[in-house]
Amino acid sequence: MRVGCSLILLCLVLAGCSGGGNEYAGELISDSNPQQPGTTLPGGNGASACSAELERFNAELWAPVLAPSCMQCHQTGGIAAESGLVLKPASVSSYLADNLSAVNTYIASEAGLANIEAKPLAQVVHGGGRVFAAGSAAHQALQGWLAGPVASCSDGDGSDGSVSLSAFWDEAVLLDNNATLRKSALLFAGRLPTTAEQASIADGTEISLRNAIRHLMSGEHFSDFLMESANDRLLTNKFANSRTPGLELLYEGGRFTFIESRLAPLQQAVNSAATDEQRQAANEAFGFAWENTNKAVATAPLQLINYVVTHDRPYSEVLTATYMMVNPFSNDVYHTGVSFADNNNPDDWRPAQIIDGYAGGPLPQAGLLSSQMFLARYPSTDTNRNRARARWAYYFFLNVDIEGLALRSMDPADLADTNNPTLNNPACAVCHEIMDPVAGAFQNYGDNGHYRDAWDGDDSLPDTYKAGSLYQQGDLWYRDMRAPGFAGTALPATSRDNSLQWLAQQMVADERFASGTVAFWWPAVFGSELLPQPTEPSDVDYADKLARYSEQQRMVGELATAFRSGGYQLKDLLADMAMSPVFRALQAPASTNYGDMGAGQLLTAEQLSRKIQALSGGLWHHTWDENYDLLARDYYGLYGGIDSDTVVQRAQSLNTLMYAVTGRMSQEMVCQRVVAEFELPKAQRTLFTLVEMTDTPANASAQVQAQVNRLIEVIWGDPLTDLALEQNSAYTLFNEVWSERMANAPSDWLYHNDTSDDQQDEFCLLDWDNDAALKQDPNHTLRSWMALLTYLFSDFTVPYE
Amino acid sequence: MNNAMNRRHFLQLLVASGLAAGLPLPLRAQAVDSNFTPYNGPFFVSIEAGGGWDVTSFCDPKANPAINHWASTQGVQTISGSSVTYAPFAHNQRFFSNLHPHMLVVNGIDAQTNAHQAGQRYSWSGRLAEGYPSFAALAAAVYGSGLPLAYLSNGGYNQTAGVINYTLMQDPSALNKLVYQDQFLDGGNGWDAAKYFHRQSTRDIINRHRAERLARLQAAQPHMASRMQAALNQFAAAKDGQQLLELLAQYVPQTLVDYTDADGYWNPLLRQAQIALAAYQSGLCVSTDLVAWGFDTHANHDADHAAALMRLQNGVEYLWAEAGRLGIDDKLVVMISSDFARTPGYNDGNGKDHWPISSTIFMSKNASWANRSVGLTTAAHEAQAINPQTLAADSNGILLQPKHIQQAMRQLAGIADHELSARFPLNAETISLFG
Repeated sequence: MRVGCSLILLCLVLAGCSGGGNEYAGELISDSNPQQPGTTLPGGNGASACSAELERFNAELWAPVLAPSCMQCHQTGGIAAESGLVLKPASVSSYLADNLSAVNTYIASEAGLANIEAKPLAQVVHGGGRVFAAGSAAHQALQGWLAGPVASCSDGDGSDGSVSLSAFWDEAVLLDNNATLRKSALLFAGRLPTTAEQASIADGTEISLRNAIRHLMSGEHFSDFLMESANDRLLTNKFANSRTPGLELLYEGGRFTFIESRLAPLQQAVNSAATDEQRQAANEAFGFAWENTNKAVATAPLQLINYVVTHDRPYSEVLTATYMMVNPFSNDVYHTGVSFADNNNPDDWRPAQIIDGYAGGPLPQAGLLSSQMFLARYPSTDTNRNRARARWAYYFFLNVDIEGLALRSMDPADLADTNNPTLNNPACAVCHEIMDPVAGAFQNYGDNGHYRDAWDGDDSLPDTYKAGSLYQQGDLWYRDMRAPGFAGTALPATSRDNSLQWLAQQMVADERFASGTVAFWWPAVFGSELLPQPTEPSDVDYADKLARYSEQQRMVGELATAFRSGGYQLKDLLADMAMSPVFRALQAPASTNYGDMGAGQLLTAEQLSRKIQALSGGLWHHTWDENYDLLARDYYGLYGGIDSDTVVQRAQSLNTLMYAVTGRMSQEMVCQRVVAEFELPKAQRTLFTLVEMTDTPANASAQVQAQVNRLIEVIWGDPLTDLALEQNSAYTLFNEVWSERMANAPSDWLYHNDTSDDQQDEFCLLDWDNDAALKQDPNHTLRSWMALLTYLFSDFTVPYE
Repeated sequence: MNNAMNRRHFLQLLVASGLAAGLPLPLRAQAVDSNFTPYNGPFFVSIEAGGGWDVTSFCDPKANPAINHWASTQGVQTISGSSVTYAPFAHNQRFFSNLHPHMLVVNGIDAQTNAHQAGQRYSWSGRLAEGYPSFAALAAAVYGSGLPLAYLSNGGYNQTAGVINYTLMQDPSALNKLVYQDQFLDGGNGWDAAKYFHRQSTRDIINRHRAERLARLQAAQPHMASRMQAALNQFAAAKDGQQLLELLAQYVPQTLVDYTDADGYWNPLLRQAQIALAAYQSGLCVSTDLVAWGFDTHANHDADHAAALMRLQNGVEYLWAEAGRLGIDDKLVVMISSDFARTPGYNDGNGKDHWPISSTIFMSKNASWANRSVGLTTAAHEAQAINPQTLAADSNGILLQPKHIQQAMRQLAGIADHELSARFPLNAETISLFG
């Protein structure tokens, strides 16, 4: 029985479980902790009595009861922050030890033992009402934990909650340093590592590897990575198309007074065109301007993230920036006063402020929070009152899922309460205590995101509310809701005009901003979402899920701590993430299930397109248009892409259609790639740097084998099987194709159309008008290399990393 | 439920339907050679009304002007010979009049939440907490393991809990290039271009080496971490399924239905339905989720919600009409539901907010259990407990929840006792919804 031990244990647990503890295998890397390439992480982090106690607390009380049912209110900033039980979120690295001690302290307090059971059942007064029913799984778990044994931590091993969980990665085999650098380069830079980068990690230390990864983060493809990943969360690219154009949202109310400054003259030119030719030219000019203007307006929030990160500014600026991003097209809409050398260059992005471009006066900017597209993507209504915006702001930037708080089933009577329940009903206040003040901080923004969009420009309150008895002249917010604020701090009167700027400062000062950033970028780096808190101990895989969840949360905490202490440099965070076993684990002991963590993440359509270009030296494009990215267009949806509107989640696993896309790619693109390569001198090629087209298995087998080996190294990286066997098999394929062609090929032309037998056909788009272009393959090596490329590019290692 | 159609039976059906003669020679040859068993059981269609629908203006009508403005001029509409009733709203009159013989309306379902994600999850998986697959995923896993398109998703609640993969295929315009991936297809009409990228003998060598390579990877699989193992399993399964895509290509119409519906709304539900039916016809698809949006009408409810309902109704009607035209409407098992419902009354913005008491509609052509409305709510649209056997009001009875609906759906589909279902127990009392 727990009761008698509680006070004693409290001291012991605090003493034993709050120290520094052993380093876990996946900790942030340092000079003192180098990992040898491809080595197995050591095991032997056995659970001490103390860690066993923490494990039991985690499995039996924290995960099934406290985290899902109590945590939301009983934490700093929560509705029960002043109660006798204040818990810490999982993003705090010592949360388990801290929360165990908090619970023990509570139990030891007067009536604590009775109340810890009676309050959630609402058998005594409880601000949160009934949290679970008597006899429910949560209740049984609580009773079970209370009745369970208590281990002593008096062995004083100096360990904390991280010790037992560190064993999660015991005996993991990680990608070696070269493979990790390759994977990082493809993900962050859309290319393979350079020779210099490979040389920079030759010492085999982790610190060299981390530095090399950190320096991958620049260039166009890094920006692509940033903006694609950010959009996968924010989904603001919903407006970057002609069906739901973001530009259209800005016309409402006529508040952006310069919105037509570029487009109106172009439209006038269309209207006044005297000939069909003039009209066509004018239409094209208008279309170009409209498309670029819309895209500029729509992608501005993503461009802000890109600007902050690529300019090595503190990531907190994505919320606190007092500027927005414009290019020449959106600059004309917002009339910011920024000038551009080329007024038609859509790639020239600059920070800017709207001073006289808005009818209501200068617009106070607060990074993403005040972005027109962010606000429009998460619109409000007269009754929603910015709560959706608060919900998403918490979710995206603090990793707090307010909707997740409503996971527990609710009493129908609570849901039917009509006495301003969000303010008065404890069951509703669970969420609204947190959400509504932040909703109030969005007070200056109307339903579609315009600043003070009331007819007189004084506020953004709906007429229906202002016509009622509660409204008073000069109000900006509802009097029947909680006052604007954040986590218990009220919005100062001096910030009422720029409340989002105040909110942004509050949010980035909150310790959850760092863990929220880790959570935001977790799927981008690791290719899977953070696991939700397991809440059902009866699930057959509960123990597995809990172990993975706990380890993830611990890692989030560690990553967040480093991110915070490093001055919020996102590149550092991304590099730390790439160093972790979640990015690198290749093999695991049979006893451990890493779930969706480790190597083997499925690339997105965009990432696969970049990888193919990196590996082959060219884009997989439409036959008739070399700039037409097939993966970004024809096959984008089939390959699991999103439209940021109706389809908002990428495919997480390869299906047959996606497999077929890679199959077609491997056949359709190889002829042009091989021809293009062999038309260049060896030194200028990407792939075929070791052979000429006259080198055959008969006259240059060593060169051919070396070239085969190089192709495997470039295209596959680690073959995941025996390398020598794969090299031999690939050479055999080449030789078989070559030999068969030497004996039976119907011609030595690279394009062959056999009118009597389609099966002899071989398509290849050739430059017939260019005498110097390759058109024939007299040694039958080019076609053999094409066959080998088809084999290599259709391999398992290509769509996964 | 019989999924054990053998190859001979399949070919007999093809002959009987005249389809075999219409197949191109390579496909007919493949059909003969393959061990593929096409799925021809019920086609499970989940239709999500995303955002929370107003059932009091739909299938659980409340003729109170404080609840619904239409009630100030009209009352609840009834159908002769049926217990199905409806509100005089949107296309309800046409919708219910035409489809009520196939329809079981279940009212008074307490979603126990007013949060969208939780409501969606509970409605379509039967559990409020994370971690359970949608019904569509579960049915696909039971009946369509090995089929390349067993679960066709359109972005609804498509959590699979690892039991099956789903496929997104909203735009199949490039499908031919994937089915005939070894052929050049950009020549257009009038150009007798070379047909293949590699000649046959080369393709044969490549394919043999691919198979050997996959075997080597699979031999190494036990040493891989779980994610890589799962990825390799997906890769192998996807590879196995690709030859079957030829079947799908036979059924995807050359001309796809327009995104704009008869009311002039942009309505992707129609095309979702069309492609799903083609996938089913091909024998490759067991289940699908179709999604209609626009129901979260916190403001301007009457106009906006009517539009959302009309889009939904146009889509459902199209599904049934197209299935009838294709001769497979007797295979449809449809479930229409939403995250939850909307308040019995208007807010200050003439909108309706979230309300947990919702409804579900099951549909199957002329089913014995159809043409009925069951489940009870009060005049104020509060759920009433019912007797699980008689479905009559019973103060000692049960308040319907989504878990009961999902349990009933599992039973209807014949998968309630399957070992996969047992992995995801709903702990719900049995309700005699289907007699």
